[in-house]
Amino acid sequence: MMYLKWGVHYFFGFLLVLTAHQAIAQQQQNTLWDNTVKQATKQVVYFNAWGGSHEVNRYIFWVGQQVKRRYGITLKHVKVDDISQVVSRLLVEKTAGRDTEGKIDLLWVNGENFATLKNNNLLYGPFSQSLPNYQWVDESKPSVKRDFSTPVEYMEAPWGMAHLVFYYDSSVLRQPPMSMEALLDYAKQHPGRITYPNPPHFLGTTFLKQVLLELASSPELLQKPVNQVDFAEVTAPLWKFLDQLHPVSWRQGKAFPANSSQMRQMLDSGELHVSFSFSPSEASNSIQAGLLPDTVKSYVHNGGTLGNTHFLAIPYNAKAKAAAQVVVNFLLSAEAQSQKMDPVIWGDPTVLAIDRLPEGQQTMFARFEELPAMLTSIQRGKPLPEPHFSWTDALEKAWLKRYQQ
Amino acid sequence: MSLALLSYRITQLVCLLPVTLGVVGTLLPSFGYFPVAGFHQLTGNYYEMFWQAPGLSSMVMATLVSGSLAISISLLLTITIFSVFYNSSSWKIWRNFLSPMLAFPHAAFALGVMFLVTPSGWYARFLALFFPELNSPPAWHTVHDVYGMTLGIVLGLKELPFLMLMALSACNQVNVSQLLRVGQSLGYHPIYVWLKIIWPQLLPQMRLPIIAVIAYSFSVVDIARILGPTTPPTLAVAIMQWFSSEQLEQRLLGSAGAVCLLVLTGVLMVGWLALEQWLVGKDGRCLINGIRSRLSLGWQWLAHITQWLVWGVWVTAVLSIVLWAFSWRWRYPDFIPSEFSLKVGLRYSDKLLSLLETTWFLALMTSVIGLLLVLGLLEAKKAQQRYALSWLYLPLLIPQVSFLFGFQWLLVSFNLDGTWTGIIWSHLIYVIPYICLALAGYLKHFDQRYLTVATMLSGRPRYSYWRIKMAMLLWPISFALAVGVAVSVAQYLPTLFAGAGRVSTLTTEAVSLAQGADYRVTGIFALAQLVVPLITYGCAFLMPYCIYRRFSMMRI
Repeated sequence: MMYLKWGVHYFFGFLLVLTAHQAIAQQQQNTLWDNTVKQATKQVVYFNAWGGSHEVNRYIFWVGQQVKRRYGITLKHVKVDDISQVVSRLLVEKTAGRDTEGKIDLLWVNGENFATLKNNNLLYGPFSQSLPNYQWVDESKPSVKRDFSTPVEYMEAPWGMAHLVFYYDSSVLRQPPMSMEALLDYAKQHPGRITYPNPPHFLGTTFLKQVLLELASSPELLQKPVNQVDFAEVTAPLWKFLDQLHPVSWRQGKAFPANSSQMRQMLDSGELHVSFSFSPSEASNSIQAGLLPDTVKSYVHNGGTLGNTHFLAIPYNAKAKAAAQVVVNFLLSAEAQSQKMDPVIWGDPTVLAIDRLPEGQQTMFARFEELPAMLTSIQRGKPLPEPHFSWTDALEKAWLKRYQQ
Repeated sequence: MSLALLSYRITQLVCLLPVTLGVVGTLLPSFGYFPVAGFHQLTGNYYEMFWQAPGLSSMVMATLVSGSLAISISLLLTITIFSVFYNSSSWKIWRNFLSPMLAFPHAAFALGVMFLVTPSGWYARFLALFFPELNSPPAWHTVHDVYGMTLGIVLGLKELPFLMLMALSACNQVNVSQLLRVGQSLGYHPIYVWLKIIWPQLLPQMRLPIIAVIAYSFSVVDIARILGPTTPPTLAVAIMQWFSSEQLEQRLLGSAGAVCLLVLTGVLMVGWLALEQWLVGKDGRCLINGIRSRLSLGWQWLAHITQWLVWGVWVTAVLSIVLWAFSWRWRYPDFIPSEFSLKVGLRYSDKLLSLLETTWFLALMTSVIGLLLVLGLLEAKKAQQRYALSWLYLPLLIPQVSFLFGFQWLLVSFNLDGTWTGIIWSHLIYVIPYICLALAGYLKHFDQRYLTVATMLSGRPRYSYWRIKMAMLLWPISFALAVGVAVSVAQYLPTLFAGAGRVSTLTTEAVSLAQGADYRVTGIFALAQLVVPLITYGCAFLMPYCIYRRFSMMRI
């Protein structure tokens, strides 16, 4: 009895200690975070992010207003054409020995650029799991933990989801081609009306990957690094497809549009019949902005399309690391994520697990109006995983060699 | 050291240091020596890589075609316009519009032309009014064409006002009206007088501007990004892509390309000098064959048609920029927008205002500093000899991509990248020579006796300098300031390299937004880009006018 009593005492004592320990840990975490927030005040965060979309720029501007008001942080959006330029700048800063006072505090990144940053130790972290709002992130999405097969390991924080979506003008085209083979047939019937952006633009490379995923005999090989497979054999169906497509594509495949915006413009003028984007909301955003007619509709291929996650990372030499983390934490809040997901604002799918959020916050995601040009996540289906990051460079190089005479 | 000598030395430092160190800073990496990025091994591998770059022959082809087209079009048009229209009724129009045309930023002009000639552009829409089969855009290869023909034509049209202004100032060295009189009294048609007597004297005077146009046309990046070929691009654009790759070796490859481009333009410049010798050489047979009257009317007609075409392109380019800037929905094949709106403009108004502020601040700072330096240096004794200031024009003769990369490392090592100082410096390299071009003639022809008398009367040389010389030269000075502003506003690559991506101006923003393919936004930015130099020119014209409104003799 006595022992039992002692045992119970011990047990409760143990529990007490345990909870106390947890509470202390929690508190430490909180004070740590409070300190970060305190440090962050009055810091200036140079956020290097692609600046080619009005919706994105406007959203980042809104974020800037919010963090200014709540935390006294000044957010400066440095608009870049291609984030790889920022990566190379960081590489140079590192070799030049500029290890503090770097000019970049936060960047929007994923894929091979993240791999380059991580492999060259150019990132600050691991940091994302210690952000208070990280607990709501949906880690069951595979692309949140592995970015183009590179383990994320909390060196970058997920920000949003991308999904390859095609769109067309339903007043021109009755039935859109629902696979790459159908797309090729369509191009043969309507020469000059199909094309894709110029690799190494990421959307062009994405198109190549999508073709490869649809046509390769064993697509699972794409998850391996390129040097572990027979590149020529795996990619043979892709080149065969492109050799057939180019003669019947826009300008006989001798020129390509620079990016998705240019394709959108050409779809609007009737030069193209099918366009595509990595942003599921591109078509509906463009209709609202007066850039596309309201007869435009979206679709995905029958076998599914590529999808990935885009992330936020902090360089190792960032000047305002504290403020950058506070900004990332804000970007991960239900408020910022739902604002971002609103198709009227940007339409970028959230990285949070909505069903795990506190109830009050779940409703934030339930208020969106349905836009006819935008597919729901159910209609889009499960995204196909990105190939290993080494494929990006290999495909781009091979493409340039074959088609840039 | 006197103030004049001081500004002479400072200008030398400001203009020559970036170019010389910049070229060295490009040359070394091209041979594999790039210590900041951890490359120490001297090697020729990067030149080999360059030779094997996919599509190199097409790149060189596009560069050669577009550059040669540009220089031939601008030069031939200049010669034609002077020969046919000098002192005719349309001459006045040309003279009045040269400065605004010159001030028209390159990128804005290229965007305007893009709105016209794309398969869904204004010209196709115009044709679609008459040809129903054009209801969907034609498969024209009018922009991004493989050989860069559109790029070449646009460059040529844009360089035309520059060459014409230079020809005008060269005309001051040659007594044109006397030559015309003498030639005509000998029975030569005025066009023949120009071609056989005047141009052979003008061309050697215009050597510098012409080779500057060559250097520019073969290495332009901003216009080539808007209108040039894409798969593969021109050499200069490809070099820029290599410079901005995330793989560091690509930068060394870019340096090798930049050095090759430098050599290529050098060869072409020498080629022009040889051609010029051949054209105006003393034994030029066709100059002295005595033929004076066999002039077909066709020539004149052709000149008239060309003149109207050139004006047509300029006017429609401006109009299309304005229309796009104020439209909401303008779908092909509508000839005019179906919906006009200020919505897009208002949406960007904050952004535009802050960019205008940056652009104007940069342009004014640069021009004022540049002006002060030029005024000082032109007073220096060293500057009085002939060709003493040739070094000043060196930056205009070196392709930008061939030294800006090296210059960037200079800025990085002084921690000046991304700072106002760095950007102003990078603009000064170009602003100073143009201000000097605009001012040197006036200062040289200023009658120093005014100053001597004033100094004798007041006993204060510096006071007299400001009160008399500067006051009398107010008009050319304010004009030179406006030139400086226009040059600074148009700078794309220097802002990009020195700005470290942190500072954007109307020009960098307009070029990057052109990729976004929202023509309304592009139109707005092109318009804004246009407004800055035009307002400055307006002020430059009005200021002396207002200050001297009671002294009619002082108003030019």
